[in-house]
Amino acid sequence: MSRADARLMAYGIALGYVLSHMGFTDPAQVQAMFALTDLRLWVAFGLAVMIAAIGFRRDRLAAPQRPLHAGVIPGAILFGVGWALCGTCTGSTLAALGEGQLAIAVSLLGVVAGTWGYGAIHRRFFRWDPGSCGL
Amino acid sequence: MSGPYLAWWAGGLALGGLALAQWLIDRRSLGVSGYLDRGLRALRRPDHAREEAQVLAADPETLRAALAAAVLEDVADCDGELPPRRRAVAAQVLEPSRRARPVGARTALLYVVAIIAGGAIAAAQRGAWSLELALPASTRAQFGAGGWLALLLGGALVGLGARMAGGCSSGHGLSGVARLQPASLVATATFLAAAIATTWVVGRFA
Repeated sequence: MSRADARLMAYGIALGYVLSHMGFTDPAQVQAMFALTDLRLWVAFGLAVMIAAIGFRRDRLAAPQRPLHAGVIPGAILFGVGWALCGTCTGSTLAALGEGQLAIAVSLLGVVAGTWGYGAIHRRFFRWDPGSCGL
Repeated sequence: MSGPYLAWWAGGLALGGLALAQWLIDRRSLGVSGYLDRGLRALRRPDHAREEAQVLAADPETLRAALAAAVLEDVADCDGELPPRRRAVAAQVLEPSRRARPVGARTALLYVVAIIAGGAIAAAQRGAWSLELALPASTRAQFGAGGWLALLLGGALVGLGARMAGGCSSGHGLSGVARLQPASLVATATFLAAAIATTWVVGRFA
């Protein structure tokens, strides 16, 4: 494992750690967020975006660009509905499982099936470049 | 503080700081769904992933020389102009990009495992780590016994939608919005609105 790979592992551990301590892994917190009864996660996420933007201030074009293709809006609708239904997004599903919430394994099963299934659907039906998600 | 969780400013500082550190140190933007997608390929095509890991582990100069040789072969074969795709490769050989080296499927899978481990460490630190088989209380309150179906269906939509949109709440929502990328701004506004609408509908009718 290269040093860069080792640092990537550290980023992964830090991400699961932070998502868990923020409460993004708790479906009750996420439900309160989307019901707009508790704005804590909204402002926390907003602050995170502003801090991340510091790094992109000078060279935001150096980062891989995500194309605005025909799948962005329909995909985002499906993602939003899914997030509201199961209460965790991609990263927080993983972190919640690590916390020992075994029921979330059912969500992860769905996420894996959806990720896997989309590859097949994409090859069969769609033409746009799905992008690389920053990899 | 909200229950056992970080206050908004502390959580925002930590998450934003992580995204900032990743970018400044390694030129990697934070995003999960792409790593999950690539990591799953390591499970589906282990032979492929092993070869890929070997290529990625090779000395950068060796890779550069191999790439240069391949491009030279192309140029030598060509009387006229290089096709655009080849030209882009040639440009990269001449001027190595500042982008981070690509992540192989095996490494991506390890990243996924690392996120799980991070959740375990945080729960242990709160003294809240325990194996819990029951549905989360809020899921049960929202859906009753149908909660299991909500988890499965919701998870599937999260996986499918994230790949279709080209990113999830971290890739589009955090990294993309921070960079003011049009696709990410559109995706983030859309999935947040869809989630609010879904929660409202569930609360009203379920």
